[in-house]
Amino acid sequence: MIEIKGLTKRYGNRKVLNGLDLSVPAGTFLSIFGPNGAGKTTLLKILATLARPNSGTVTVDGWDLAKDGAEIRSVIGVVSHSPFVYGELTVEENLRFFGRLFGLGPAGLEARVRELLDSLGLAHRARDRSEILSRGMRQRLAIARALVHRPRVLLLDEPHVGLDPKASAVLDRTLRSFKDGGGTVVMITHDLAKGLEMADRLAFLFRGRMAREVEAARTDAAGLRQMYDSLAAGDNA
Amino acid sequence: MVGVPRKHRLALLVVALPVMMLAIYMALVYAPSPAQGFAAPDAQRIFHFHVAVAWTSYVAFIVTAVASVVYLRTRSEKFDTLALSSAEIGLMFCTAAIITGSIWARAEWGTFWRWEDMKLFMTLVLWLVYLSYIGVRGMIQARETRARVSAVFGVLGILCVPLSFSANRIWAQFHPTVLVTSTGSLQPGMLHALIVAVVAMTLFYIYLVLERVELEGLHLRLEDLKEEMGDDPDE
Amino acid sequence: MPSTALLIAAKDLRAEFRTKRTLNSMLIFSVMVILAFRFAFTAGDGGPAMVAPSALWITFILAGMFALSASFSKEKDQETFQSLLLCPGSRTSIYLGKMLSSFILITMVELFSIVAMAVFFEYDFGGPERLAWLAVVVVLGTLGFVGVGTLVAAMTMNTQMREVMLPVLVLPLVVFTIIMPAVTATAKVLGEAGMADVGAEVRLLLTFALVYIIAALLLFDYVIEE
Ligand SMILES: Nc1ncnc2c1ncn2[C@@H]1O[C@H](COP(=O)(O)OP(=O)(O)OP(=O)(O)O)[C@@H](O)[C@H]1O
Ligand SMILES: [Mg+2]
Repeated sequence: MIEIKGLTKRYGNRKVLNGLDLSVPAGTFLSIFGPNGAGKTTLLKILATLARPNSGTVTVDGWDLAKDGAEIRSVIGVVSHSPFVYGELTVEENLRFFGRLFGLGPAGLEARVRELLDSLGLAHRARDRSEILSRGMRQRLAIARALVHRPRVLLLDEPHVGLDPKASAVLDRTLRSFKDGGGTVVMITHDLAKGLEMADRLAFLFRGRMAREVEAARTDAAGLRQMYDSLAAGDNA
Repeated sequence: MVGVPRKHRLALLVVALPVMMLAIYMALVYAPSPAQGFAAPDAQRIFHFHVAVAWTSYVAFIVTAVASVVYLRTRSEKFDTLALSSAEIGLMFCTAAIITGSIWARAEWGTFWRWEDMKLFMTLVLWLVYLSYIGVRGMIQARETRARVSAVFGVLGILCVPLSFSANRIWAQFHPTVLVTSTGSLQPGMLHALIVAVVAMTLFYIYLVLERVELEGLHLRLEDLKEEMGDDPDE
Repeated sequence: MPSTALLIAAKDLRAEFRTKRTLNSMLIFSVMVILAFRFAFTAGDGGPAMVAPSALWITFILAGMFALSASFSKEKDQETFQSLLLCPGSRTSIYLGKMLSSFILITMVELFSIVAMAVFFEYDFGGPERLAWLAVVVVLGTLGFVGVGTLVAAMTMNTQMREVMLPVLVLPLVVFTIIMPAVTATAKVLGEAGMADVGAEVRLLLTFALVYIIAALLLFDYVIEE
């Protein structure tokens, strides 16, 4: 689904991504761990066509990132640190706006908006302006926004931050059903346990490269912790 | 690092300085005073420098615009450095052109400025545009964004010059005043002096740009080093 | 105009009319400027026909800066600009959408300013012909201003002190290309001795608007990428 070869991204003279290779088969849930400043968000931004790589090739769903940005954008959904929604608009207006931007017709759109509002527990806030929502509620709206056009790939940057246990469970449920529907997920997280719990594959991003990749089934929480610590120790040396 | 070795820059200065001396001599002594048609014949001598600095500033701004386009195509930082350097030096020459022009105009026409004069007017537009160009660079910290945004403005700026020019023709008609052309027939001695002045200023411009490029290269390296040491480059 | 652009413009206007923050500040600002001109120039200075054209265009351009700047700084502050970049439409439709919403907002303020000017300066348009030509001049001048202004507003979105940088960058680009012909044309249309021909100015304004919009369409991608 996602193929990355030799990806390099520089900001000024600093190489943030340095010849990164990564392959994510369709239907996989990949969790990415790594220290602050390792380049995780940068990687996600490049996949989302929000930043231009300096070199390397990236394909998403067979589309070439350098040429087919619009096609890639129509198959991905992105959840980031900030919710990316308009405070002056109501919850449902936000979802309608983004749905229409992605080309949903009026009939299908209403049904999709209802469906998302119900499944994320936002139905009772549908007519509230999103600026008065609590942070967790806004994050749910952000997730609904990312799903509104039925993407086939979800790119998530620390999506659990700021969610209470209940909202966190709602998110987990949504992600699982997304994956059960054949979706591919790339999730960045600092929460090793959460990453392990959700994912099929785990990857460690250190200094702009994938330092290690493992199958989630082949490790447990303690093993993961150990792996991370030994990579971090090598990183500091 | 980009730029030209110090030796070559010095060599250029060694060539430029005598040419500049010669230009001063020719403008002030060698060139004849215009025989007729000028209210202040000796004030005409400043005109050699005026034309030379004005011409050089146009060259400088064109270099900036071209370097901006090349930067947007190649994303190679040295073209951004060149664009910035040429804009700064160009602005300096442009300021000199406006000042010398006003001094001459005061002596010749009795006024510092004539809005109807196309060349004065275009020079003013350029001056404003590239002043803003340098202004906006100071307001963007991220290096790549700074280069990208200012390159776009560099292109817009040069685009606005012919547009302003054609607009001014209409405007000048609307405010009818005696139209004055600032070219007259040049006597041979004046032409020689003018050519030498243009050559001198162009050499001087190239020298200054090379020095400025060098300086900017050092500045950027310092930023890099500070960053590597974990310092905020702007503290 | 692609539908993405229309959607973005409609969204902008819907969000704006819900709070009317930008619109209200623009309206209050224009009344202030027109009043300031009304009292700064008294009868001895040649009457309203002399002052009105410059007063109007200074009001339009300065009030217009609010709309241009708000259009992008709202997206920046809420970080929603990223979500526009994530939509599959081409990025130039973001430019067209932003341009359209700013254009509509500014035209509304201009209409209001012209009425305010007529009231405060006791100006009599004396027939539909003048009004029609005035409308043509105002629309074309605004189009050129918004055309280049939207591009520059997108540029300044990432600068410090963007509220200051926007006018600093826009003014040298528009002062001779848009403001000067527009003021000239407006003065001819409102002239006390009757209307003079403004064909040349109108052609010029149309040309500049097109040149700026085409240049902006070509350059917009460079401005917003990261
Ligand atoms: N727009 C930018 N301009 C310059 N440098 C940037 C920019 N964006 C990111 N960086 C730098 O790139 C590096 C990687 O940043 P990135 O946000 O990808 O890290 P991260 O792995 O997501 O970290 P975190 O865990 O803190 O979220 C950092 O050193 C950061 O300072
Ligand atoms: Mg991050």
